[in-house]
Amino acid sequence: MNPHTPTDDELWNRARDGDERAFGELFDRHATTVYNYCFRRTASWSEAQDATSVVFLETWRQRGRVQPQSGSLLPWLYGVATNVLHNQRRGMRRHRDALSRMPRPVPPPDDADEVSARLDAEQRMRRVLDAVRKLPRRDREVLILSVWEELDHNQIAEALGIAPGTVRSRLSRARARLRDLSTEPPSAEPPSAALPSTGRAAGAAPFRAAKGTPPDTVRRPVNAYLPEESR
Amino acid sequence: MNDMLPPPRRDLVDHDAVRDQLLRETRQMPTRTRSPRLILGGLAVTLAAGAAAAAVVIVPSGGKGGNGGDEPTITPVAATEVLDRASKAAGELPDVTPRGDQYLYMASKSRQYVSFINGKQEVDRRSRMEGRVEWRSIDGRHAGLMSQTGMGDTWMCDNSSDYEAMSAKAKAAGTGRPKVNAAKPPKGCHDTPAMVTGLPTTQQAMRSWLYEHSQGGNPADVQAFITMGDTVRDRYLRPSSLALMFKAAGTIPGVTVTRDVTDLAGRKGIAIGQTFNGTRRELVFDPKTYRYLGDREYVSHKDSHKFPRPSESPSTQATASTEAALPEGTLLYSYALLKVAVTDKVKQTPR
Repeated sequence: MNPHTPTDDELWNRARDGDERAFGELFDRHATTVYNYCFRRTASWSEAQDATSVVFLETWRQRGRVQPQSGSLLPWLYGVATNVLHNQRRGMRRHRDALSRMPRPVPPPDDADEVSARLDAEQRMRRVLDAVRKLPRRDREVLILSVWEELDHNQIAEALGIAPGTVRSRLSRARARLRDLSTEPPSAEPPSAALPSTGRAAGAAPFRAAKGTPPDTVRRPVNAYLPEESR
Repeated sequence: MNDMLPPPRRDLVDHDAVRDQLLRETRQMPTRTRSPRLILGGLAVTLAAGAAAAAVVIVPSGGKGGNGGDEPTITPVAATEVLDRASKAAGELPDVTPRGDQYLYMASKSRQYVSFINGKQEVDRRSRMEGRVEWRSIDGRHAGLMSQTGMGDTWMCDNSSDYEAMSAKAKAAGTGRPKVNAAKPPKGCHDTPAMVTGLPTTQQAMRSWLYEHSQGGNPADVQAFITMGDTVRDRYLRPSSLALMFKAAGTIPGVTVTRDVTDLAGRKGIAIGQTFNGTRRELVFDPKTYRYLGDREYVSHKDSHKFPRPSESPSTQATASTEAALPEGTLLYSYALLKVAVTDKVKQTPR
């Protein structure tokens, strides 16, 4: 970023005061992140696309009350997205007409590779979500923002409108819970053994699987959610 | 175990199209912080009780019946930021240096509201929209001209024996004002030059200039803001001076921001202003380009700052009662500058 690139704050302030180009620039900056976060919460690209539009429409609608605290609009957008996803029907109803005017949220069917890649991703995401659903919603939200979205405690606090201390306690509760879940059948291993990240297949980048360890034969899904330092 | 990891990120389908449509939607979306829209009313007459108070007024369409959300939102912290943007935009204007014999051309629309108050309540309100084109002499030594809707043309030429003679003749002939013949302007005018010269070149000095060139019974901070507004509205400043003036305005106490403004010409704007003694005075800017769009005055009962009052202020007391009877947001005056240019002659319309 060169020194002339406006910060989120500057863009946001201009946007809030009526400069649409600035809002468009913020959309360009953050739409992909919001979109993928919504996908990770819904396992549906088309729902994620609609939710992304709603997140930005909501952000605009509430612009009088939005003042990014951290210099980035992203925590706020995560917060709006979390609410939109939690309360989908209300958000969607409010913006139903606008959504109907949005471009269709599916790739053109003649792009077979893209279509099948997206289908695969949806299936995989559904399996991932099944595993996290075992956590209570609030703990799950904090965990996802921390582990998948890599927000720090202050950003999560800003996104969810809670105190950083609450973020910390929810996170540790979620981790403890995951440890417990990971020891339940079908896993046969004791929790202590479950903590070190054992051989995940290559490509497990987000959770930094240890390399060179033998392939894990035991299905121990929730382990993947444990951040590095707790393993 | 791979199934515990989210799949790789993908891009939105039709990112650009989504953005463009989104921006179209935001343009149409009703704003939470509603702005006063202009409603037209009428010129009013004094009723009964004798205490006739005529005030100039325009009202938000949300009116009194609204839920409070209809009132303009005023944010104190951001005025400096808005004025910084205006300053930056002003500094980027082309540096035109008009000759003394040229004219500052300004086309504008304005609306004045007159309220009639019976006791403590407004009983009638009327207004008049006025379109106006002015050619103001750059050096003040040439006769300027003003064309107003329904009024025809008028010379602007003060302190000129030539013009006084023309006026006297017209009066004697019973025609009122001298008839304007653009080919025969009155000579020897001594008007305020349209172009302001000799302005300081630092922000601090510009601020002092505003305070020093202010007169009137208002608190100094209020008067300095009024002087700033009058200067920006009626006169030509070099871009560098205008930029400094906006910067300096950002340091005047009690200047706050009003968002989501719609001006008389239907343009969206963002305003900065001061509220004192029942009246809020604002300058309106384009929210994208931060070009000056005009100004307005409306009733507001909460001072934007605890202005230190001058030791004796008889005038402020006298006007207070008028606005007190009017609801918050009642517009008193609104002015929209539509075009500004420099011309060689009066009656010449710039491209």
